[in-house]
Amino acid sequence: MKVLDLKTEFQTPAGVVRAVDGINLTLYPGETLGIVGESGCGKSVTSLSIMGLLPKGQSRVSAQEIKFDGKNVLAMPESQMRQIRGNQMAMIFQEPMTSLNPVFKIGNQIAEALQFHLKMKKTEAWKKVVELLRLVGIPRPEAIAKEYPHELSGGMRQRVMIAMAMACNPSVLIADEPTTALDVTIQAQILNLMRKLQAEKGTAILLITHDLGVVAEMCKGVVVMYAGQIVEEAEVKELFNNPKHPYTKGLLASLPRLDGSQDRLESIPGQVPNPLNIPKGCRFAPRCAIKMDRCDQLKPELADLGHRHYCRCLLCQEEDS
Amino acid sequence: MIRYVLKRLLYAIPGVLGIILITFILSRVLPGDPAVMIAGEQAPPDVIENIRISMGLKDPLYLQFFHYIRQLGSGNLGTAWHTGHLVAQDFATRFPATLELTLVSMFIAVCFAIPVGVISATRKNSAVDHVSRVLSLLGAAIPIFWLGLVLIYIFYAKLGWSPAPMGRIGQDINPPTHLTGLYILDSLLTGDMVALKESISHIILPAICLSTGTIAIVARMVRSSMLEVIGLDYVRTARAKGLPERIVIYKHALVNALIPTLTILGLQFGYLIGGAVITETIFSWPGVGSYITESILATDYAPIQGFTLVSAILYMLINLSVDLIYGLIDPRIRYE
Ligand SMILES: Nc1ncnc2c1ncn2[C@@H]1O[C@H](COP(=O)(O)OP(=O)(O)OP(=O)(O)O)[C@@H](O)[C@H]1O
Ligand code: SF4
Ligand SMILES: [Mg+2]
Repeated sequence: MKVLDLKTEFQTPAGVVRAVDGINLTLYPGETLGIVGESGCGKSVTSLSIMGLLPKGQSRVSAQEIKFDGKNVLAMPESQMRQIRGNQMAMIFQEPMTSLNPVFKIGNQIAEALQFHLKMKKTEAWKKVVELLRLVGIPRPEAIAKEYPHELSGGMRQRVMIAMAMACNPSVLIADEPTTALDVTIQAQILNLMRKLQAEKGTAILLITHDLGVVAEMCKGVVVMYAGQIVEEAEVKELFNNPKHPYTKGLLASLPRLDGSQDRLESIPGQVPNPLNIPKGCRFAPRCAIKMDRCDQLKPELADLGHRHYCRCLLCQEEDS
Repeated sequence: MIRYVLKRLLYAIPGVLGIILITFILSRVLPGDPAVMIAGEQAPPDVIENIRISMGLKDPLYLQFFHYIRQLGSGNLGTAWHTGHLVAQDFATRFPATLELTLVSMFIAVCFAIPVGVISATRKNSAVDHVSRVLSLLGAAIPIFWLGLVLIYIFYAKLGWSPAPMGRIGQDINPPTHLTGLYILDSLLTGDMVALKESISHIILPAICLSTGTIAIVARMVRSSMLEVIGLDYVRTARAKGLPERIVIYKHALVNALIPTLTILGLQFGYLIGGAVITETIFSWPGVGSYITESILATDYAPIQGFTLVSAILYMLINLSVDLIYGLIDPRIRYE
């Protein structure tokens, strides 16, 4: 899947907000690409834009292309997009507690996608549901399929969401902070489950998180977002060993080290800029520790540093040229 | 579940007793003397006095109340002197008419209000939404007697589409064989097509008249609860599965939005079944509403008291049914 120059705007009473501003992503088959960034930087909006799930009236999504399976998804009519959604391209959400419909049986909610996309008969779909629930590690799958969401814990519900997303064997799975709402031990289980399924099915995963630890564990490549833009992109090892952007450095510095070599957690001072009032030059300038005078004026481009490493900082840009 | 129902019924007893007491007292303190009404204004005082004594009206109130309760205990609602029948008998002939009218108007209300509410929510601020908002305001504000007269004027007097607003069936048509007392149902069950056509054509105008208020309230309610539900995560999940919008809205969202709407429907049903006095009067509908109006005008205690008691019990049963239906729709509800 390839996303070129994705821009998403919202109509708000206070004016037009561009929550995502020119994102490029390339997701290779069977790989996991991470997107990290602070709350509000536009991670969810990016994923919902790709899925075409933003509320129609208030939002406008544009892009040069969102290429999936050789076709431009963005140019498709809604009816055709629906054939892809939940079928070849599926999504897991941040909030397992509220993402399942409280009034329908779990099994029926999973079966829906099977019946709609794969035209399965009811009994056939139900068999597949039980198999899926077993696959995502739910005990007593036959019984659980007949239960309602409120009877399950958060971790179990997220497993159900994964079963639902994986029902039609999608080639792309977008996971928007799938473990943020869960306990640490459950988090690890869910991540392991996703890795296992990926290994079995060859699914490409776009993993959205604000946890660099999760990225280190799960991803091949990683994209760092700030205020609706990509500020740095690299393979995980490269990014951890050789971060270029001051924001990435800040994020890494705020990670606790396993060897305890760090006395205290550093955090980046300041706040994400208000999307209605974005700095004119570098968007990170107000919080940057090594800010230069020209940073307030010049907009840095995403500079190519070679071997899949990109960085949006005037320093990198100048080095590059 | 059965234990829950029994418990609810048991808890309702004090309430029903309270209602019996209050209606008893109210009917005694209200002006009007049944003895005079029975004997006639010109009757000699000793005749009136004798009637008072024979009706027990001279006894102290507590004794009258005691007699009344004892009589109720034996399943007797008393006699309506203005019809000369047992109150229970009058109810048996009148009540099906009211029930049928209520059921049909609830049916009309639900058929209209739900789609209108859903469409105004999914196309918020569209023309449909604005029109339905205005109509709802009108529907809730129009006086029923005015609407009834306008309907009669247009559809009976001008267009002649509707039969004369006189009762449940044409004067020269035999009512269907009595099975349930609901003419539409009875004529369906007995295959009596003439009576079916007649009873439907007679019920339509009063049912529309009675349903407007309910349509207005329910449509607004459906709209607001749909708006709430449509923004929820599980509706987005349904879309993420690639389901058609029709299924997302009418299955995933609507079922949830109906949960709060059900309360309103129950209240409206209880309200309508308590006798649509005005509608029944305008359309000469032989239901309990017009019967009670007659009884009040005749200072006939027994039917008024009986009616209040029966309505209180019906209201309670409707509330109980609503709570049970909640449980059917919403699996999170458990009855203990
Ligand atoms: N429906 C909407 N209308 C207006 N603005 C919106 C809407 N949805 C999101 N935004 C704006 O888009 C920006 C990005 O939000 P987004 O939800 O993508 O952040 P996020 O990176 O996913 O954060 P988090 O880590 O908290 O999930 C926010 O500033 C938010 O105000
Ligand atoms: S461009 Fe300037 S302000 Fe922006 S990140 Fe680089 S050094 Fe900091
Ligand atoms: Mg988010």
